[in-house]
Amino acid sequence: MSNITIGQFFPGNSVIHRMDPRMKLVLTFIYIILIFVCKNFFALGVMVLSLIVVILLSKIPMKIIFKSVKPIMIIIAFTAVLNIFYIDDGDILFQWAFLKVTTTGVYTAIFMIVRITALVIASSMLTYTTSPTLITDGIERLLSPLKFMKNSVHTIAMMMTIALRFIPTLVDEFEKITNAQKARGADLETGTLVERAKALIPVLVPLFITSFRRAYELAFAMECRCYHGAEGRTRMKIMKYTKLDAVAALFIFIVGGGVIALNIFFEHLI
Amino acid sequence: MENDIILQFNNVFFTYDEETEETQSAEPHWAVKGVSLDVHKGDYIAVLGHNGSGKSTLAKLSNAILIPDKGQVLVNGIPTTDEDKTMEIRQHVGMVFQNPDNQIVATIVEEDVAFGPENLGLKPEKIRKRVDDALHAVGMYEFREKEPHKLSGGQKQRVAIAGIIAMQPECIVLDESTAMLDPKGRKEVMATIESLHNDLGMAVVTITHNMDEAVLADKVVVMEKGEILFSGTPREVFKNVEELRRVGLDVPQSTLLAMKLGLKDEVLTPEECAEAILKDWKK
Repeated sequence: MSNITIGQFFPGNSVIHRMDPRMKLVLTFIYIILIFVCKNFFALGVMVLSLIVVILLSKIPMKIIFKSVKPIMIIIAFTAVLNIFYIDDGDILFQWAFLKVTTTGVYTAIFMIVRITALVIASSMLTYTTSPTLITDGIERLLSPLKFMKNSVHTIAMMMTIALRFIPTLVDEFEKITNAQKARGADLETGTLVERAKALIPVLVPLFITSFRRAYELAFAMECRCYHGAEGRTRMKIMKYTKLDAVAALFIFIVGGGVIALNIFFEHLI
Repeated sequence: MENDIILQFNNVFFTYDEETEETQSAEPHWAVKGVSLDVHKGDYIAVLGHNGSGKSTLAKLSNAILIPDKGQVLVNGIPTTDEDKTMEIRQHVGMVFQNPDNQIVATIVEEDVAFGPENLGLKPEKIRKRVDDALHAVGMYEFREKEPHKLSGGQKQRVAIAGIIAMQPECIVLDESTAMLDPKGRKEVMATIESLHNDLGMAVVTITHNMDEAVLADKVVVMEKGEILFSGTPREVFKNVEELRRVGLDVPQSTLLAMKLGLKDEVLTPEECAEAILKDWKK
């Protein structure tokens, strides 16, 4: 369990990995908006193509990419089915009692499948190629010019960093306590769901108590290291936009232009 | 000599008792009771005492985490009661705690070491230099990009020490920093502390109940019930075998062996013990 990867980050040294996290955040955001702007298959096709380019550049194996879609398969299927039966424009392909399948319905369903899949893969590309620390850092730095919320942004970023830092520690602790309770004869594996949930209480209570103690000690340690919030705090690592980021921004800009043009030139599907 | 005192306790009293109607009249239970102690530049002091002797409280009083109820704690002449200068005080006196896990803030070693200097508002290049120097000083430079939870206990504690020395304090207080470590980790941390003292000239105050660690110090202070019981060089202090055992402390094993063998020499380390036995046997 000590080898858990947090936030599904896959370390690497590809051009996508080397991009500035701030730029990645912004471009992913723009990309997601563009997915929703698409009105027909041509525009969506451009989006899918650009995503494939990014995946190939990131050198992340396809197997892992598909893994990110797996958990939402049901949602995708549900959306598709709903669209197929709900939309009754276009030519009828198949009809049984009140169920009617039309060409438009099928097109829309496929459109939705592609759109949601692209959405999920695009956002996973961000977490696959950027460490959680860099993402939090990136968010903090992106929002730091907003003076009125500077302190709250810093606080949230610090909370996220500490949470990420303590996940493995608490996982270890959980295992230790579980073993200790098992040694005392606790039965955690058998019984109904309710029974097993109840059996977890003697594990969770000590876990909570030690977490509070940890928090208390960590607060001391942070104070000893002169922590006093965002005021007057500097950072060791400076984030710099490079040519790479300019190229990436240009790429998304062209893709965006293409999508809008295709939206105008071809008929709208939805 | 007056000027090179970094940390000064002046007849310090401290209690954890809450001040209520009932306790106001009665004498409170002092955790630290009238302690006076000077730490000079480059000192190496070990504070000994069993649980509840007030030694950890003494540590927390040294950098304004706790404020004395009576008396004064001065850091480079600044009283710890001066709230505007708390940050300055903590920069001068760094503190390392028992559990390394609860001191590391960031998810990457070098970012954790940078945490202190970042809080001081230094320039990025300067932080980078301090972080590299600190990691070299504790011998963890090659681990700078590792995640802390993948390190051993001793390595984590060395990272925690690096985090403190990156703030460049004149004095480092170690509050039972080796208590949770395995023998190997303890050895690593002890070697690191030795080199901080010898190579960087840092004043070290180590709070411990391990006698073999105390032997390394230049001065040993024994605490009992919030008061200083003995104070002096390890040789002077460990002579008092009977009193030390009475307050629940041991003497170093070598000292004990030499005493039981009825040797005249004062012995602290295994090497000295061997020499003394050899000398006695030759006679």
